[in-house]
Amino acid sequence: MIFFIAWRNIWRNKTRSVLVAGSIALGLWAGAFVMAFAWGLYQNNIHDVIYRQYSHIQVHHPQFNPDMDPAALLSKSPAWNSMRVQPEVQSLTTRLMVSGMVQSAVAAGGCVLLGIHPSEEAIQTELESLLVQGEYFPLSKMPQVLIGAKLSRKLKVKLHQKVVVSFSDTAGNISAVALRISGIYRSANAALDERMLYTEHQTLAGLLGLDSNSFHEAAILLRQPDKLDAVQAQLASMFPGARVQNWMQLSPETDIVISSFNLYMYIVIGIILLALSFGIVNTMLMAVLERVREIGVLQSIGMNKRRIFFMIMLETLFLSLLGSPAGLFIARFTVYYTGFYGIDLSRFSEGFSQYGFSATVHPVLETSRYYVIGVMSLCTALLASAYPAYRALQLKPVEAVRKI
Amino acid sequence: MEQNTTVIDAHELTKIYNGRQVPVKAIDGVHLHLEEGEFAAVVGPSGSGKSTLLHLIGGLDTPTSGNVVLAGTEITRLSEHKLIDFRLHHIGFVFQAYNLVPVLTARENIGFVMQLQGLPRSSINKRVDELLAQVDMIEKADVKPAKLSGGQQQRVAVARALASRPRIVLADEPTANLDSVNAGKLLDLMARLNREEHITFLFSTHDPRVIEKARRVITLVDGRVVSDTRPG
Repeated sequence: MIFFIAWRNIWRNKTRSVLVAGSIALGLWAGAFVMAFAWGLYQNNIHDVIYRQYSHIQVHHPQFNPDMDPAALLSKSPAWNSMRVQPEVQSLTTRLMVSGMVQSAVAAGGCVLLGIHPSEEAIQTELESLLVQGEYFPLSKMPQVLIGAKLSRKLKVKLHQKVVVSFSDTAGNISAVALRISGIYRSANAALDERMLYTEHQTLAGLLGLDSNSFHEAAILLRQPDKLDAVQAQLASMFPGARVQNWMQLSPETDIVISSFNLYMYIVIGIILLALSFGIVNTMLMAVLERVREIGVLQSIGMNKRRIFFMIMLETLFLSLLGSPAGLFIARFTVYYTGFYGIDLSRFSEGFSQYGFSATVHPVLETSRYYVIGVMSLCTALLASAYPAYRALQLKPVEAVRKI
Repeated sequence: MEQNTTVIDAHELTKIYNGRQVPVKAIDGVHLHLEEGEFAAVVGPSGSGKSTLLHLIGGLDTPTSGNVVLAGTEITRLSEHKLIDFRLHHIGFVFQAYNLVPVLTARENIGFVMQLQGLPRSSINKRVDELLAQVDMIEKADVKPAKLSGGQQQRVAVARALASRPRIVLADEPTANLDSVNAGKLLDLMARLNREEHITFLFSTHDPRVIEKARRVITLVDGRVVSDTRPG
């Protein structure tokens, strides 16, 4: 009967109840969507980190460092080639890398010149698809280079013009080479676009006096990312003494973002629920104070305080049970829709690309998180109703009955 | 009718309210004994302490001094929780403003008290039907209070008060909001239930129609009993 009375009580003031349930629904929708949007944004970032930058695993010489000592080399072994046919491996490639200076007739800047295998890199980082001008390493006698759109603006160079790249060779001597710009690319990461130049492996190997088996960096993309640890261990045994790192180790900032995502998001949800709880307290307090005499009568006829407390809590629970599933259902639909079609942020893409984010975000949220948000909402509602319920308990039947 | 068991025994009952400037003595050393099956009215002018006396006897308020023994239990010594439980099982209340639960129908209002007592549904339904018949409200059994007249609401309130088979019914100005026809019907109903169910009724009233029906009239003035008569 108490369930029954509580249920009917919430419909005594339909407008108020609908508003409260609606605000709970809106709050949860906003919370879940913000969470999904942020997770979608980070998923883009993770995708770019893996599929455009680091791959799942990279192998370097233990003395290889950000200054890129050209002598810190590894060499392909026969086992390396056998990696290609492993079912968990999607693709792999090797690179040579030197840091140096790039200059045009009018400007200069720091750069990293990568010697790549174009066909492998087209799969590994989808580099070819990033071209906005020119061709992807066409046949030519002249050594060619791909540069980022941002760097081309900085150097004030155009397609088919030359740039000169100077760097230290493996013996520590300064070398310089003129490279013709065969293509200009634009990735989601503006910082990389300004620094990274790509030439063919054989070109850079020739400049460094190396054979075709030598490399500074090996990158492996997995078909089955859940096999990351196993493949990493296999590579470690294949290149004893080499530094074998996964993408989380290569990009610790991304790993931190992922591991702290839950904390950030639950703080956001917590703030939304805190705001909601004030609304619930206000509404339920009003509902209790409007029914002072009625609650007094219930106590007079023998309804104990435990039951009265329970009744007020139930009323809040019912409001929350109306609002929460509605909000989460709408959130689920919105996340599904926007996740499928994506949210185009190209208007802000310049800003996003500075931080390595793509311009189209596909919000995504695991099903379990909807349950967590729902439970958090119910707990908040119950906590928020405790004070109005406590106030109801403070009413003395005689004072309540006297009120008219 | 036998009247040999004391059901209400108030001894040296005093209630002092702390007013803004001076304490107000609402009840001043009242002694009151009611035997089982009595049909008594507490009368007196406004502010004489009638409602306060009923509230003290019903355990809705606590006396400043003195004690109240109902059906052998000293309720002034009971904890709040036990007092609520005592009211549930032994006292029925009828209020001037009816005070039915607005979201429940007449049937549900009557059955609610028995549900609080934890009675099985079958016996609740049987008792509710019985009470609805007694107060002549079968046709309006499934109507909510807002759609009932004042007289009908008060009849449901009486049925609710009797639902738990209490030994005592305390009625605070039960006819104050009723017209003469409905007041008469209600009084006849309560008098009949008193006779048939042997329940002790104690009213606070200044309604001459109630006083006329009462078999005992206790007059309060300034919180003191100034007369206690048994007319007729």
